[in-house]
This record gives sequence, structure tokens and C-alpha cells, in this order.
Amino acid sequence: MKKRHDIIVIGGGHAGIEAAWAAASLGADVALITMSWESVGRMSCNPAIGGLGKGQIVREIDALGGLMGLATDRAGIQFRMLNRSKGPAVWAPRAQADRDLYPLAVQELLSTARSLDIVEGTVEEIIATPHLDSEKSTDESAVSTSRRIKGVLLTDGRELLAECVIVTTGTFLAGLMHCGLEQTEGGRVGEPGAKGLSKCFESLGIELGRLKTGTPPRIHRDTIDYDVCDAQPGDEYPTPFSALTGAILQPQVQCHVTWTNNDVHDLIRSNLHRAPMYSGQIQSNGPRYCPSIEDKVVRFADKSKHQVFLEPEGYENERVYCNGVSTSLPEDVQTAFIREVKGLENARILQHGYAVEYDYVPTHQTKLSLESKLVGGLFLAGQINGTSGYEEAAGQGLVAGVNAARLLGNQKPLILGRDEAYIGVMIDDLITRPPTEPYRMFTSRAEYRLLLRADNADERLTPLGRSLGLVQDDRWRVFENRRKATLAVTELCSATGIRASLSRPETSVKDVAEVISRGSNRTFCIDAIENVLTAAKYAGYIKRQAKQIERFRKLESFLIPNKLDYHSMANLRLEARERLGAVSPKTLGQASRISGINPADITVLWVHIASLKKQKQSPQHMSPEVLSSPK
Amino acid sequence: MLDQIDDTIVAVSSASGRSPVGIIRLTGSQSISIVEEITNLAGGCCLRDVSGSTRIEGAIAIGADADVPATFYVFRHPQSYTREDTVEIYTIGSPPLLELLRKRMIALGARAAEAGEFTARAFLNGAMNLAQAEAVGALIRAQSDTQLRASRRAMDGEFTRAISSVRDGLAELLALVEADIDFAEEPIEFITPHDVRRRLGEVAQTLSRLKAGSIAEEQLDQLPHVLLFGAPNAGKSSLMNQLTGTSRSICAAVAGTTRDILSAPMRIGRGEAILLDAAGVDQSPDEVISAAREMVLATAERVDMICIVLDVTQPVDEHVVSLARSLDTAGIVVVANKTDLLEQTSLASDGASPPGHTSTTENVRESNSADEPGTASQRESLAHHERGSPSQSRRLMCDVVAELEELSIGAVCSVSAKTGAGMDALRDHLCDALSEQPSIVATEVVALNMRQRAAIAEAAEAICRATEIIQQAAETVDCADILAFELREALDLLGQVTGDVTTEDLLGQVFAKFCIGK
Repeated sequence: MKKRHDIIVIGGGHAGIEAAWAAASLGADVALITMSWESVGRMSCNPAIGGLGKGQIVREIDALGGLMGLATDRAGIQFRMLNRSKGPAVWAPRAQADRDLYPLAVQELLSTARSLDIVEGTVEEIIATPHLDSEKSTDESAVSTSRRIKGVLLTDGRELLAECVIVTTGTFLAGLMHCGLEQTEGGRVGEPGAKGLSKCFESLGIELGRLKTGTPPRIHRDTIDYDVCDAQPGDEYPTPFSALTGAILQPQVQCHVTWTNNDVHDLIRSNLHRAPMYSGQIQSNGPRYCPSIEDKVVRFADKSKHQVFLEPEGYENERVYCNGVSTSLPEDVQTAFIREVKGLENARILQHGYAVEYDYVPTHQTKLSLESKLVGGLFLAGQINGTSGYEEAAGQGLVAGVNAARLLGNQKPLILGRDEAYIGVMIDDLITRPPTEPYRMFTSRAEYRLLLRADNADERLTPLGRSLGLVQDDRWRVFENRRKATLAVTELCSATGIRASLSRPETSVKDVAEVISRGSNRTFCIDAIENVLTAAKYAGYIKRQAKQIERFRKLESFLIPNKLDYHSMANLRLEARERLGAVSPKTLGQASRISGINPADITVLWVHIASLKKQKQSPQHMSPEVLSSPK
Repeated sequence: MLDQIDDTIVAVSSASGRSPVGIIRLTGSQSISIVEEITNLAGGCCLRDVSGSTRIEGAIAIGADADVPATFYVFRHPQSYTREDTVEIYTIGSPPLLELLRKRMIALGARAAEAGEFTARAFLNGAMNLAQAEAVGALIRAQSDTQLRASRRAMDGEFTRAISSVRDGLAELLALVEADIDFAEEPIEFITPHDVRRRLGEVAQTLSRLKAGSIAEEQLDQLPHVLLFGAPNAGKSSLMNQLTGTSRSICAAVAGTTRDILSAPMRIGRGEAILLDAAGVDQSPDEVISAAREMVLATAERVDMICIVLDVTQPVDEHVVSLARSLDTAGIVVVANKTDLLEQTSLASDGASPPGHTSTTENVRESNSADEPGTASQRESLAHHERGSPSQSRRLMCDVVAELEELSIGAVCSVSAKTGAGMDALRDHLCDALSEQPSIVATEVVALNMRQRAAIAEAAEAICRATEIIQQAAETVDCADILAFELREALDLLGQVTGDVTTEDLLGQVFAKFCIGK
């Protein structure tokens, strides 16, 4: 029997979870297909959430009613606010999570979803038909989608039908793991990959690329000499990720840091011929910002030591993650070099490091809504779009989930602006400048960084989330309370005359608290005062950017028709025609960010589009010969 | 329809260098109120109170007590070139003054116009018909090509090599400051405050040296100036394009397309001269056109050489000739243009055209569509020709030259701006006539336009603010967020001169230099 759903999500990783949760929150009937329920929310790589740029994304997901912040607050075992010594615009929350508790927290949250079916199984095929109904797509006049999604076929023969399918397969798409010369098919250690899907994408006319990422060895926690390592404690007062979390009450664990040395490096150097990255066994690109230890030793030969973070995988879990030495060297080499590291002389490896190669869908084939340009109703999120990291995946998952649900309701897609959210910066980067190495968020990617802070994610996005239907009453109440508290502090600052000194760097939360509570018995939330101080600190800079932002928004609101034939635009430089044709930007703003496009190209494009519109308006005296450029 | 993009833009639209009159043009909803802020009008009158298209005499307040006389042309929406509220300010043609004013306008909320943006708006707002869309596109492209060419030329010079090296240094510094933010967990001190201060000091020094040495406009000013002078549609713009090798001025099918004075360097002999192309002079009663005419005449008195451009298919333009005679100018050369429309020999007038000129009708047609527009009389002559009496409508080249020489205004060069015929002879003639000018031997001129120079000055200011920020900091990390903000601004500004630096470039620098990543 064929079962029908509104939306099918393939994959229960960080993208899939958010996609399913968001779509279900919007009232869609969702099926989440996973190889096993138990693996939903599993952390394949390091057991940590957040960090620079990424922490901001988690806050944004939370502000939009997503799960990641809540799950991290429940399963976190060490919380740190990174960059605390710098300005609040670049503060970033980060937490170590318990590898066993995190998936449980996710599963518990998911089980409260309104209309979510969990289907255990492996997808063999995505079924699409040549589509006839050109109305139903995220773009009002999408004519480029020649096919339309119908459903999926599982390896056991079951067939599930749906209007939309969201693919979040992570590293599972034709996943191939390398450990030395040994190669194993699969997406994660001990888990099979999704083989059929790659072929299926190709038959749908979707081009695939290949990327690589790696993991380090995990060692037994009782085989480490902690006394010779540096301890790295969490924050004294842990800051939660989610606005719904009052406080982090669970005990905090310590991490440790040790270093590699020249003996380690020599060992690695003498075994490079057995490293798949160097033997030519792996050809695909890995991330530059997360090099393997082989890479570090080769590229930075003059460095005598590299940092190794020893991150416990949980309260009960006996595994410790050796962050900093990701490797695909053979097992015997891994064991040997790990034992050369100070404090790890007796270490026992519980799981060896490995590199994994996987297929991804290069993003020139995808729209800003994360819907495929080629197959209507097919959405892609996470590593399949060439990103790396749980947070990047989750942010895309949320957007894909929302947009699939909105497509069902014939609503315009949610496209977050570069001035609104890191998630917006990320998706715009992916679509406008398709990456060729795994894409990771950095704060330097956001031109309006001082505006996109971790502390104001709720101000930026919760009202939007509310209007979309993602933010439930409890979250909305918390948000309104915070807003009121901030407003009260702002007013008191004006009344007491401390307002003028708010932007001075030496003014502290304590100073403000003292002044505004003078003569009254009221107490104020530190958070509200911090909020006011931060806003004051950056007000001058943000005002200076205002004109830029205004122009940015205008260009963003100028839509480009879907099927524009750039090659016939004689006045456009040849290079500009090619680049624009490859990306098919949705707005003039997006067009302006394509690499190699200059302001004059934009003006030419603008004039061209305007003349098309004029032609539409007054067809009687416009002969087509006048419009179409010669050659 | 396109009201989304209606911010106010500003540009200096007179020629760079020694122009007697400087023009600043603003268009957009705020243009009147922005100009109002810095205007003193006689009798306490206000710009916002004037209606329609009005010319007002007044002054611009440039300091507490300093006023500069100016004439304001206010064109209210939709009675303007762009169909938006537009203000043109005619004042003294001093580059520093114009730069100062432009900057004030930007501070008051205007934005620097992009290449071709005024024309683009005119089109977008319906001031031109659809058939002209193509021409508008060509114009924008031409203007940006010219800019590109100018910056490429400049790239060869020592001057902009220095700017590029400042920009690269700045990009490296920003990359390090960004790394301090983004790779907080790395055990690397990417850059010490001491180093930031040292590097900023170097950048500031180079920028101020560049600013001081930024006499590009004045250098240009010392080159000989040659003005193209003639009736609307005599083919001055085409001539400009031929001589400078660019399509700087657009040759549209509308008489009087060129309203501003355009300038571009041209190569003559082993040196360069500045060629100016101005509005055509005619007897139009239109107020604005008459103002433009006054400006052309004033310019004509200051240049080293005038090319009187005459359309040989027309009777000699007495108005232009009498104006030329009245000018007090060093040298005049008469350029007899459109000779491709003349019969070359008497043989041809007998009906036996020489090879390559067999299809005279086609020639004329091509001329009409691609180059010079068909004026009424030209169309008449074409019609005449087609009726089968070629000898009546086509004049002989030798007759025309003789006629022009008889006027004894100056030497006569016969050319075709369309085919390029006679250009070398004209160039040689100009070179001889100007050879007494000392600076003609200057082989390379670095011509940074006003906007580029303003960008350098503003970048220097951002560097100055960055220096203040780091002065107060004990560690780079303490102020990395706002330090990066200022550095990015400086980098973006220099990018306008030498090309952008992207985030990927910055990240690439960090990854190449440091071992980043767990």
C-alpha cells in the first residue's frame, strides 16, 4: 500500500531534524525516513555544538523555534562563551555535548511534534514525474523546473508519496570511508551508505560532485595521563543557547589540551605513502580550515607542535575525542603516533580516525529557497549542499522545512537576508558563489557582522518566526518579556542620565545597574542591561552602515525574471553573461554578489529587465526586433 | 514601477581639469532638499518653493563665511532629464571645490552615481522610448569601459602600484584581525597591537604621500587641450571616439545628445593631449542649452586648439563660423567631417563610382543608422538621390575643401569620423600645431578621477579612526570587532580604485599562513 504524506525528509541528521520539526510545526504531515530511529540526532564528528559563526547560527535556529539550542542545553556537558574578551558582536556560544544524551534529547523533542511519522528504512529511489503543473513551485513563474517530485521508494519495496521531498543525506550519499589503504562503503563507522540515491540524482539530471572530510581517533578516557595535560574548564556561569532555557544546571566537565611533537611528526612523515590523501587514493577537496594532521605536518613543516584537544564524549561515555589530529592513516600508524603524544603514552584507541568521501549536489543547481532548480518539490539541505558542520546543516534544514511547507500552501519562500541572519549569509553564499570545498561559517563572511549578533538573534528573527507560524506561545512570551525588560532599562538609562555614557567602553553592567536601581527597589535582569549596553556600543557603527544596508535591501527587492536569456544581451560583457547565466540570480542584489560582476553590469541588467517590463506593459508599439539584441 | 530604486545620486558632470564651469548634478527625491542645505539664495528664496524648471542665481556656502557664486537649475519631477527631481549646480570649475561639494552632498544623504546611472534612470523612468534601451546599455558599457581603461592605464603607473600595495597590505592586516576573531581557539596570536599600530602607520603614511602626490588632475591640466566645436550633429562625438579610441561619448540618434563637456586623453605624436567634446552650439532659445553654450564658449577661450567640426553634407554653418571668428584662441583647424558621404572625384559624379564606393546609397543608409543620425535635410538629399539625380545632391570633395579654405579660419583637414579616413593627417596636424607646448612629450599620464581620489582620502580617514581605536587597546582582541569594521571600510574604498578584495581572499591568506583547525 502506498502511504501519502505532505513532506518526506530523508535523513535524521541535524538538517533532517530541523527540516522535519519546522515543517511539522507549520502543520504539514511529515515523514522522516531514517536508517534507524536510534541514530536520529547522532553526532558523527566532534561532540560539540556552536563556536565562531556557528554559535550565532544556533541562536538563530532557536529564535526561529528550532531544536538545536534546546537539545544542546539539555545534553551539554561544558559551556563556554568564546571571544568573551572581545566585543559582544563576536561572542559565540559553544558547548561540548554528551554524545549519548544529545540524540535522546533530540528524539524526545521530536516525539512532541504534531504530525511527524518516523519511518525506518533506506531510500533507494526518489520518484519524480515530468511535471505538468507549472504553478506549484516556490517561484511564482518557475518554468525551469521540468520535473516534479512524486515520492520515494525504499529498498524494502515500500513506496511513500509526497508533494515535497527534503534530502539531507550528509556523508551518506555514496559514502566511502578511508583508513589507510582500506576502503569501506558507508556514511559513518558501522553504518551503510545510501548507494542508490546517487544514481537516482544522476537520472534526474542533477550533477554530483565529491567532497571529503575527516575524523580523528577516539581513545579510552582511563588511558590518559591528565596530570601532564592542561585543563580547560567551562565557564563559571554557563550561558544557555536557547531563550527557553532558564539556566544550565547539570554539572560541567573539563576538557584537556596536549600537544604533538617532532617524534609524532616524523612518524607521520615516514608513513605518508600510506595516507590516502597523499597516495592519490582520495582526489576530492577537504576543508582548508580543518586539515588532517598529515596536512598540518606537510604544509607547516616548520611547526614543532600542534594542539590536541581531549574532549570527553559524555558523562558515562568512555570515549575521548582527540580534536586536532583528524587522520586517514592506517590503524597501526595512528596507534603509534598517538602514543608519542604527551599524556597519551598508554592511550588505547577505541575507534580509529578515518576520512570519508561523499557525493554532494553543487549548488548552482539549487535556488535560494533550497529547492532544486531541476526538480520541483525537491529540497536539499546540509552537507549535500557542500557545507560542513552540524550548525550549518541545521540552519539549512530549518529553511528547507519551512519552504517545503510554504510550497504546499502556495506561499512565497522564506529567504533570509544577509542583513538578517548568518543563515541568510550562508545560503546566499552557497547559491551565489557555489563552494568547491566544504563550506564553514565564519563571522568574517557576514558584512553586517555588528548587526548579526548572538545576543540579538531573537530580536532579529523571533517576530519573523512568529509570523511564519514557527514560534509557539511559550517562546513568544519569553521574547516579549525580554523586550519589555530591555525597554524598561533603556527608559531608565535616559531618565537617570547614564545614557550618554553607555557607549563608552569602560561602562560596565554593574555601573548601569547601580545607577538605574538607585532610589528604587527594582532589580534588573543582567541580560537586559547587557542588551542595552551592546546596542549602545554598536549604534554608531550600525548607523554608518545604514545607507549601505538600505541600498542592499533595495537591490534585494528588485526581482529578476526567471528565464532571462543572458546570452542575447549584447551590452553585457561576455564574462558577465556567462557568470549570470550560470547562477541565474533571483534579485539584482544577488546578481551583484556573483564574483566577476561589476556595478556597470548591474545597471545594464537593470535597464534590460525594465525594458522587458515596459514591453509587457505596452505591447502595441513595441516590435520584438527592437528589444532582442543583435547577436 | 521602478520606484524601489529612487535614492538620490550625485556626480560631477563637467570635464575634469581646466573647465571654467563646474557642474554638479543630483537626481532623486532628495536632491532639492540636499542642495537646499548648502545654498544661499538672493532675497531669502528657497529652492523647494520654486516650480517647474527654473534657473536661480545664488551662492553655495562652503564655510562659515565663504560663499561661492553658483547658478542652480531646478527641474521638478517629471520635467527633467531623469524624470526625477533634479538639480544642476553651475559653479567655478575648480576640482578641489567640486570634490568638496560632492562630498558634502554625500554626507547629506546622496550616493555617488555609478557609470551611466543618470541615463539609466532617464530610461527607467520613461524619459526615453524603448528603442533607445540598446543605446542606453551601450552608453553604460562605454562609460565603464572608459573607467576600466583609465584604471588600467593608471595600474601601469607608480602611483597606483603604490595604491595596490597599500590595499594588499591592508587586506593582510584585516585578514589577521579577522583571524583573531574567527580562530579564537587557536593558540596563535595572529597580530600584536604593536604590529597593528606599525602597519597602520605605514598605510597612513603611504596614503598621505599618495594624497599629496595626487595631482593627477592638475597634471592632466598641463597637457594641451583641444576642443571639438561645432553644430549639434556635426559628428563631434564620433570624432572623439575615433581620436581617443574609445566610445566615450554616445552617438545617439537625437541631436544634442552631448550636454556636458567630456574629456579623454588622446595620443598625438609621441605625447598626449586632452580632447574635449562639448555640447553642440546652435541658436536654440532653450535656457539650459544656452547655458551650456555659454560654457562651451568660455571653455573655447582657454584651450590650446579648437577643431571646428563641420558637416560637409550641409551648407557651411554660418553661425558656427561667426562664433569661431569671434573666439580669441591660439589655433584653429577646420575639420571637414563626413567625407564618406562625398564623391571623391569628378569621375564618380559622372556615375562611375570607384571600387569600394559602388553602392553609395547603401553607404548613406549605413551612415544614418549606425553613426550620425539622419537630419531632415540629409534625408531629403537621400530621397533626392534615390530619385536618380546624384550629381545634384552629392558635392565634390575638392569643391568642399576649396570652399572651406576660402573662409580662411584655419587649415582644413577632411576626415570621416565614421570610416577613420583622414585621422592620421588630423593627428599630425594637431601634433605640429601643438609642438611648442612643452608638456606634449609627457608619455604617460596617470589620470585618477575625482571619485577615485575621494576614495583614497576617505580610506585615509578610516585608517585614522582605526589607529585611534588600537591606540587605546592593550590587546588586539579587545577591539578586533570595531577595528575590523574600519579596516574593511578602508579596504572597500580602495577597492573602488584597484578592485575588490573578497572574504574568500582574506580567508585564503589566513589558511596559507597559519595552521588553523582542529
